[in-house]
Amino acid sequence: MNTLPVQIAFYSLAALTLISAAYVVRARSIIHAGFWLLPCFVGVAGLFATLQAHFFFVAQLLIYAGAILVLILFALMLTRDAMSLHVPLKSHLGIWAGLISAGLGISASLVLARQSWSVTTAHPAGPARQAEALGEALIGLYAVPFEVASLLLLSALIGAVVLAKVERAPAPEPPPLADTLPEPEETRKEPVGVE
Amino acid sequence: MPGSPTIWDDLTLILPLIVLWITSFVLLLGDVVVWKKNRDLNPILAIVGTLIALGIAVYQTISLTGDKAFARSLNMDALAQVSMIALLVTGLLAILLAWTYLKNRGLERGEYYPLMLLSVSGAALMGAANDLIVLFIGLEILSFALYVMAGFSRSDIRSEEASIKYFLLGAFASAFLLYGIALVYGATQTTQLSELASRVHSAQTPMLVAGIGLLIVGLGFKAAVIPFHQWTPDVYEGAPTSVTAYMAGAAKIAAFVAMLRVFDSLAPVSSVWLGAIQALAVLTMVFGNLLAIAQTNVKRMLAYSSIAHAGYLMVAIATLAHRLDGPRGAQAGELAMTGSLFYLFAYTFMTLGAFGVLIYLSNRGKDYQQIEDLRGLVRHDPRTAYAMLFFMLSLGGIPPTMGFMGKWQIFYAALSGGEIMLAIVMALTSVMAAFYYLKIVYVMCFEEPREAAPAPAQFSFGASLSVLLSAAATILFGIMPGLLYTLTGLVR
Amino acid sequence: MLNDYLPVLVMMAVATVIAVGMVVGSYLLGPKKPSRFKQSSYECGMTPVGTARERFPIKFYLIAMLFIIFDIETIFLYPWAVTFAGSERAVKLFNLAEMAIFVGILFVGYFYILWKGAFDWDEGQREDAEQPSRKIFEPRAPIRFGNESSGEVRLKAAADVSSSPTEESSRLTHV
Repeated sequence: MNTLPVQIAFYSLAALTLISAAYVVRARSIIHAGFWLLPCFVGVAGLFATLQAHFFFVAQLLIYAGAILVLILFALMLTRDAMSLHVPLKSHLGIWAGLISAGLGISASLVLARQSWSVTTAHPAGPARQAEALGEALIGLYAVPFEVASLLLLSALIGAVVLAKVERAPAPEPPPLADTLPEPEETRKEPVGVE
Repeated sequence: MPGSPTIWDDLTLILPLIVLWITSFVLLLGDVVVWKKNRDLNPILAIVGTLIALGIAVYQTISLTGDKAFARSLNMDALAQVSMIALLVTGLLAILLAWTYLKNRGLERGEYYPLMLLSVSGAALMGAANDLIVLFIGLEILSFALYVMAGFSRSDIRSEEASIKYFLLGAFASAFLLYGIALVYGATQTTQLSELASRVHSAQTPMLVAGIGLLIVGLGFKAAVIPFHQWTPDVYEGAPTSVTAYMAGAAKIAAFVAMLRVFDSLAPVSSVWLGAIQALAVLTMVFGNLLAIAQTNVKRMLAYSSIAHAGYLMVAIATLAHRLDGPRGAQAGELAMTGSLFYLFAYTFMTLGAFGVLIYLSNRGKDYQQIEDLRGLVRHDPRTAYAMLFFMLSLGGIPPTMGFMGKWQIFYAALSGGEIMLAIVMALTSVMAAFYYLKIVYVMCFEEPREAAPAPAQFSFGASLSVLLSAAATILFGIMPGLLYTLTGLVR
Repeated sequence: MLNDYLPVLVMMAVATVIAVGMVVGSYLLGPKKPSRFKQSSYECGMTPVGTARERFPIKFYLIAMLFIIFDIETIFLYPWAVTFAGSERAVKLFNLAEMAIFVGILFVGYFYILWKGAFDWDEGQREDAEQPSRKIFEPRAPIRFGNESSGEVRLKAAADVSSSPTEESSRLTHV
């Protein structure tokens, strides 16, 4: 099962995930950071695929790459001047953050490498059987977490409405086009109609 | 257990939670559709629902019907039921406070109470969890609601800051907790706490150690233990005071009951985590109290005080490590368990009381937050000042109050469990703590009011009743702790 | 085995080839007679109004958030449906009840947002708008845009520039 193509796929997907994650952190524009999440999420989905976790492959693509990424980009575009905002990368905390995350990463890898995993040699179940097993767990052993997860979603939903729903008085009529308001000088200099 | 006849028994066991959920659904939909403008109906119905849930919980606790439920993912034992009672009482007091406060600040929006009831149920699930997954989801329900409630005052920039700060750090801590759960699962192949207790001893790998470490970080954040406390002062200060009061009580109860559960089942490998817990306890007690001394804002001071109290509760967790060390250790473990529940009751009464006083005073058209604002309070509002006096004495752990009884129990448990060092630090820092609590008493009682008597606070039913109940409990259970022992003593 | 994913890979490859091929092909084959008007950004044939680097109204965020919540619900439906199909008749009712509770709780949320009006795009018309919230649309600079045939056309963003900063800050301080 650990054939060469699978291994190649695994390591290249891992590299894709890690490198794009690094770009998410290091990107100077937050919009770029947001877009770098896409290869990161897709890479994780691919890792699930190489591990034969078919359901999580689909879920990862559908939820993370499909929905959460869009939400993050929306959130960034709500930010004023998000496109032109460049985060200064010089931070006195950067070095500490790097050291701590490197330390955590190395120790986590060591811990995981030293664990004697109980490896099964059985051929993993096919996609349909996997989904069925997951469904059985959801309605049987993990029924409480499953049902309660809907309450979590409900409170997230209420929270979204409470925090983000615009409740305001009717906006004043927008002024008609070509209104004579003084124009700021700098906008004149913008290249007209050129990318 | 599909089709099993016990499903109705299981549902009966979580009946208080079901009542809470249904109440929150009714409130949520009723506010937008049925009684759009009648704002007072929300708190009233929330109180009714909480009271019914409380009644059922008390009945079930007394009749001792607790058992593991739902494929052993919930453990509705005495610990779960007593902590549920504590949470429901906290919720009740907090609803009363919110009734007054939201009206005064013009924040009456229908979503407040459903969110709060949902978060109470999440906290109760944490206390009843026999599965780390349930614990995690309970924590998330509690936290989500709290993030939103902290930012409830959308026009107040500090409230929004509190919300976003709490959310970002909270999400970060949740990631730690989840990773810890994953590692513990990897090491033991189970997420059930009762299974864990029998398996951990033979699964002592570096991965288990790492998993436990991450669990400590994740839960320590929720409990506001130093060094995971940075969010506490800002969130406590920025959030609307009624939210701060609720958060202080409910999050602390939930986090510590969860910790009691987790570390109770991890007792076979106590050598792994005892050192870390001891260090955190000492750090939290010393620095929580030191930092509180410097505060001039009552809400910030109470935030640091909540950190310091988390330190005292960590002493109880450390004592729990000796549960399996012979009969003496077992007794100390039991004392730590009952003592920390008593302490959590005491903490919730005195903290909600202290915040309640601030909320009661906010009736005067001004948000009371600074210690300066309380100057000479005894002159123009003696009853409120005396209530505050009791809460401060109780928070400082001074004898005729409940705070003293709670502290004494944990102190005694620590001594009998052999945690002499922690007991000494606890005693010394308590003396330190008395300083800043008594400073407020001094400012209230012995300094002249800076300005002429302000407009007297209008009578407001919610805050008055809440403060009155808290004060009564603080004194009653301080003088006659036996009344509460009958409840906390069930947890063994 | 990656064989399961071979169709996915093939499809990804085909999609990439088509997408890249269209762009490269039109670049290579198409005649290039650039003019200023042709090189302006394309807004469905309309004259562009302002820059594309624009703040989004928060309504989009709310919709995206609601979408995610129901998206996650859908993900839970998949494995449940597979199990449901394979389960015995006696267990089916139980399984159905469990999913009904799950979906029912989310339905409470759905009706809440429906009746609350979170799906109404034009919030301004609602009568129960209670509290003033911070302005979403900030005043933005008008953009001049050249047009070859009709000379200069001056367009201005539909923004309310008149509200003074003091009014804004007074709204922010709490009551």
